[in-house]
Amino acid sequence: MKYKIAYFMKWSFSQNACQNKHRLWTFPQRQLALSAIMQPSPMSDKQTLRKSEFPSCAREALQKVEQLCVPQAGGRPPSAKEMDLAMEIMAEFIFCEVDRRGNNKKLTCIQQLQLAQLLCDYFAGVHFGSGGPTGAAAGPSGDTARNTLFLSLFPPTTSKGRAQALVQLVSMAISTKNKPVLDSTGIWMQQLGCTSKLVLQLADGLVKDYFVLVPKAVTRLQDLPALAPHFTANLLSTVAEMYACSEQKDGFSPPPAALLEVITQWVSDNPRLCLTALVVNLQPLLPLGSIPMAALTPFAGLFRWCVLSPLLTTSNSIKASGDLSNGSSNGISNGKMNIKKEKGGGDMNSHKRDLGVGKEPPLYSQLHLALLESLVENVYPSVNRPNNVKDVVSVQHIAGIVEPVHNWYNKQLKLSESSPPHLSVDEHEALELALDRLGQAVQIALAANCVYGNKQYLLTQLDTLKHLPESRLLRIVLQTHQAPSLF
Amino acid sequence: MNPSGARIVGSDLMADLRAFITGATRNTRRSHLDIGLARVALSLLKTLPASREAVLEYFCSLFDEVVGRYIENVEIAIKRGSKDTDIELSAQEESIVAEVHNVLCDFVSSSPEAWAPIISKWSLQLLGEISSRFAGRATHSGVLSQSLQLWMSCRATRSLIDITTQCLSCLMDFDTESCINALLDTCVTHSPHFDWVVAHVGSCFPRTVMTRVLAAGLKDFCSNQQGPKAPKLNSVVQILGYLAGSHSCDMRRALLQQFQWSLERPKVTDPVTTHQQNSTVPFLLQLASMSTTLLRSLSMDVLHTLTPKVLSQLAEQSADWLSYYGGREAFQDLLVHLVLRCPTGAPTILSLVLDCAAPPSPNLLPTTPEEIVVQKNGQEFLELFLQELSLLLHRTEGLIPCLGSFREELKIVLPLLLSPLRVRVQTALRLIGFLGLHSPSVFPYAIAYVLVNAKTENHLSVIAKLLENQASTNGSAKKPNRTSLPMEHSNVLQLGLEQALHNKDDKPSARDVWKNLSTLLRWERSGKLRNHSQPVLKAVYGTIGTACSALGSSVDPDLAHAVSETLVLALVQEPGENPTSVTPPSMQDALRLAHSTVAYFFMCIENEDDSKGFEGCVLACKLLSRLSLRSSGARALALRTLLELSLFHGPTHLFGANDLVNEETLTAEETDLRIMEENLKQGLSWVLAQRHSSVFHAGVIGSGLRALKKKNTTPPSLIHRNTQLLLNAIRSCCVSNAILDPSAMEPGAATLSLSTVISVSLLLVELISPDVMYNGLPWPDEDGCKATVERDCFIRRKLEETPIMWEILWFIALHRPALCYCSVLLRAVTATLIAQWGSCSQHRDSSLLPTTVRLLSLLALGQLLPSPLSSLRDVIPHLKPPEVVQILRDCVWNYMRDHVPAPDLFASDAHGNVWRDSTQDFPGPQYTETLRLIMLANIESLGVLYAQLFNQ
Repeated sequence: MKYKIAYFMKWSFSQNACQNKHRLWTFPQRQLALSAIMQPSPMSDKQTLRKSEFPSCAREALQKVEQLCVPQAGGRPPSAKEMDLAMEIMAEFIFCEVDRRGNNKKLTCIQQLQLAQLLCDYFAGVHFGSGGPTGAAAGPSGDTARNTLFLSLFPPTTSKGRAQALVQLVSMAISTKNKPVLDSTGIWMQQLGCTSKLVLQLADGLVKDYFVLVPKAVTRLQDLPALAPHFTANLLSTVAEMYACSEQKDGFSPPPAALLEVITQWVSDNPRLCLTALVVNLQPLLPLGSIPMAALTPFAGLFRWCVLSPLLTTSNSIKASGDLSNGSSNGISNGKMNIKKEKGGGDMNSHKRDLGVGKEPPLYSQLHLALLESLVENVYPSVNRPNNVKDVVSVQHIAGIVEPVHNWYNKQLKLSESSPPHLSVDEHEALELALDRLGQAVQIALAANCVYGNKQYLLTQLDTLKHLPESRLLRIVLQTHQAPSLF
Repeated sequence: MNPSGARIVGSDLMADLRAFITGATRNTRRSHLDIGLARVALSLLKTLPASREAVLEYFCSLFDEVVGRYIENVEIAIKRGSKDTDIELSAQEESIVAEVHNVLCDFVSSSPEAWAPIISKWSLQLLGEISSRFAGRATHSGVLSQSLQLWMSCRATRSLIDITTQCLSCLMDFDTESCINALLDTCVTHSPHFDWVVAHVGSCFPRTVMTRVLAAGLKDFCSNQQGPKAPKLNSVVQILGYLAGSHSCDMRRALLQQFQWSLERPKVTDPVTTHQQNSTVPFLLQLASMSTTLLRSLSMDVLHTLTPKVLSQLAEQSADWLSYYGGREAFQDLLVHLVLRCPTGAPTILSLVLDCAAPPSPNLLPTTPEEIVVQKNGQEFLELFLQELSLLLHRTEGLIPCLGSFREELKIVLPLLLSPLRVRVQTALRLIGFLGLHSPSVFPYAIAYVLVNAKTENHLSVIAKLLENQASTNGSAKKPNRTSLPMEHSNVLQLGLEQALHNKDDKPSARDVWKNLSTLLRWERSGKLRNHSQPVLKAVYGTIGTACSALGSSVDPDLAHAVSETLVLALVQEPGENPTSVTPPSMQDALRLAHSTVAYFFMCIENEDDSKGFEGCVLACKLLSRLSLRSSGARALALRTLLELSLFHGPTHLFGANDLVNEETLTAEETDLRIMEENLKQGLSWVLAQRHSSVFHAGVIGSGLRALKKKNTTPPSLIHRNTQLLLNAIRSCCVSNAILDPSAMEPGAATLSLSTVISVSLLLVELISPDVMYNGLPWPDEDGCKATVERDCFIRRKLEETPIMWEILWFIALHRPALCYCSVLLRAVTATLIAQWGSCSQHRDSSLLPTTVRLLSLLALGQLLPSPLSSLRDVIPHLKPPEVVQILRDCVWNYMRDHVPAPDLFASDAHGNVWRDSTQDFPGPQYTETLRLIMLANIESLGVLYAQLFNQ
């Protein structure tokens, strides 16, 4: 019986129990040692915090950190020392990453959940303006303070454990429709850059949570654009880049079907969603002295999806049959393959890809249409949305789509068994579709005048596609836009 | 969905979340068994992805709680002493476990590739923790089957295992590596309490688990050159060992697959892969050294793929191996002990090593450096192995597994004995010696093999070595606790010989066996076999029964020749040789041998053409004389058989006999007689057909003379030869014991025993004379002959038919006074001759005179007729028939009648020669007067003779 209780204690509260013990035994020495090094005031902050146990100490620590980071009523920004103290408090009392001696430790999963819930509550709580979550209309001071705290909690140098805590927090916020957290996350994403590692990690975690593991929870995402448009837009950009990552072999790996569906719905239902990040003015929401980072729109990434997906689906249908023949010949070689998949970070998706062999899902053309409409929307803004944004897509970004198409074409020729090598009928159709989509995207983007950068570069890139089987649309587009520059 | 609705959902969720957190962090004991809380947790799991890990952690403590209560119940039940194993959980526990199980299973089945890794990791960890926490509770002793039963009867763990297998079955298809790694890692942490899980999971997917476990083990083995110290190795061995027990086929295939993989040379060389490939062999060996089951599996399939070629291929890899074992000697030691422990396949290893160490043919000799290395190592290994084996044998009492496999596959070892290469022969000899320590039956088996298959003298010398080997084995096996009785050499050899002879595979082998045996005998004779107990001779004596049947059957003359040669070597001593101490064959064997030898003799006679037949006869004679000396029974039997066969039942035509037409056939032709016709036949007396009065030796009255339908076609020279051979055989039978001691024998003394010759003559009488009575020595009055006409005619006829009889009589006559006992035969012939000469005026038979001369010569030779009567044969040809009748009547018959031809007429001289002194025993004038007068009447032709006979 005694054993059992002991075990139970260890199971759920081992961290705290240990902490307490240490505190009881070593407190005097510790105090002496620390007081010699540090000033009394931060020391006393920590000591008061140490008196309470995990959930409450985290809550108190949050308040303390807020006090430290957020300048009171337009005062000076926090000093470096204050920031250091805030960091230490975060590490020891909020995320409990280290114990009082600086050794690594870890919260139990339940405690992590507790922490996420606590953070959600805290951010949604009364501390940041009593007006409640009303987006940009909320008091600047409240939102700024919240964002400042959020950015401090998850700095760009966040450790892996804390990144997971962030994923948990955001995931919970999505589920519980916690707008403040989502807003802050959106800003955090933009400030860090949608293609930065941390943001990609977050997006990956969210996709895994909502689209891979619990597809039933997807319904909660449908009104996400309405709830937190800025967050959604940044999430879109990140996800688009995540799957259209040019480092991958084919230049694109298909996303889970549920994700595609949701994204298509988002973009179709909210034509201006993709532009949100460009529209929102971040400056008042940021901490004092911060510079807003440039936004990245999901257009180029999503166009890349649409252009490359028909190519990938046809070549996969061929590859799948090849895989069957040489697969599982040796367990060891199989193991190697699996390692590679894991490194690629998308083994789930690659499996999905195998399942969805053959025909390209119709959702892509729907998505493509929605994207085109979004671009057009930008040209003809509706009455209540006067902002007309330029510089939506960069030339390089769009031109990046050309190379994978080339690669694909060359690969298919190499694989082709007939001589002289040529594409099969299916492959030909796929290529035609891809080039058509590319042509449409380029045409609309140019026509809507939302491309920035050296347009000539784009056209030269497109010009290299000439040796591929001809696409009439592409030719027309080229002719249209090249002609003026020639004269 | 409107914002307010979303708010409600959100707040609902938050409420759930709060409730869950409060519940899960509550610090009281029974908190986890709250079904409401469990349901909240489940709904959170479904709706709030962020809570996944927390919920799973909560389930951990939940399951832990349930299992804890189960174990308590079991313990209580055991204390109470009830054997009732179905300890029920409470309904609440049941339903919680069931719900969790259902939900998790739903997740796994809905999107396996996403959930299975998470759930399987969770369940494996949980199982590991539970198993090690409750290890040692509820009297579960750690025996695998027992713990399996304990845990499988617990609802919670059963559900967990179920979930695990479901996850793994999803994962097995595409993510085996991580899945097996998880299994292994858990196993390492919680071994050995976790074994039951691995066992259960492993038997669900044996092949995959094995392959993957092997791969994972190999990876672990070669990472950082950990070798035998690799942390996972122990659990790898345990898992594989368990699985190999129940899925040996899959195990073998997996091992083979890995081994073959290690030999592959991929086009693209990847250092990690190459390193793993190079480490595969040490890894497999390490596995085998740690588990007997694996050793067995390894020695079944993988072993048979090894050839010297493969070995030289492996030699390229071997540089890396030694580092795992701390040096060359340690590695060799490991190998030797592995082979020693091999329950199967040791012979394959041996032949492989031998192939390397001493290639069977010169064109297989090593050429490349690798091959030379392999050869050297092979030789070294062989020596080490044999040394270790002998050491082990003399030290331990138990059975050594590899010896068992050698014994089972003795067929592989034995051919080595006949190899032209010394190394092989030596190895095989040593091995057989080792085997013999525990199972002495190996020796006879090996000897049999060599006897059957030996072709050269080198091969045969192996037998000698085997015998020596066995002797030393016996010497060392004479510990009191050995159950096996020490066997005599001869016994071993004899057993071997028997086995060799009963080898029914091919007939010609028997001939080889006998030939080989005779070579051995010759060696033993000449003292080449340094063995004083004469094992070969004893063995031959032991198998005399088989030898007899081989000798006596005429199916395979070659075999018979070989056997006879061996027997002669065994039985017949050369003069001047020391008599053997070996007990001679028993009476029964002697009799059988006598019978077979006679049969063999006749077989040789029949195969007249080749010289082998002649040699065979000589051998048979040798055998017969030896047998006759040894046992009078055998002598009697041999003589009787010889005579019977040569006179009646055997190949009589070869001895010049005329086969007369059978009387039976004659009567058969004349069955349709009509009494009317018979009655019309005119005759001197009343003749009744087919009665005594009408049937005579010359024919049946009414049907003329009996026709000699079959003339003997045997060439006279052959008849002559055969006759001589037969006489030799008879002579061999009659040989006297004196020749056994040639030094003591006087130069002129008879080599034949008189009593035997007498028995021959008695035997002849018995065989020829149709009556049992009146076969005595005295000659009756001439009138008395009238009563014995029929018998006389019969005897005469026999003599006419079988000329060999004369020769036998001649032989008997030479050994006086044996001819006396044939008196009845001589009497009958004389009587018939007198009658025939008397009727000579009517028709003269051309054979009459020769027969008469032959008879008279015989009588003279046997000294039954003294001089001058002994010269009658020279007189007769010049006389007229009436004179002949007169002489036969007066000089022969009357003399014989008055002087009964009895042995007491003869006297023995100083040399043992029996002689009738003719000077004292001069016939009276009543016997010689007739002769003198008739000679005088024919003095013109008999003058010279007359002068010799009567003018003294």
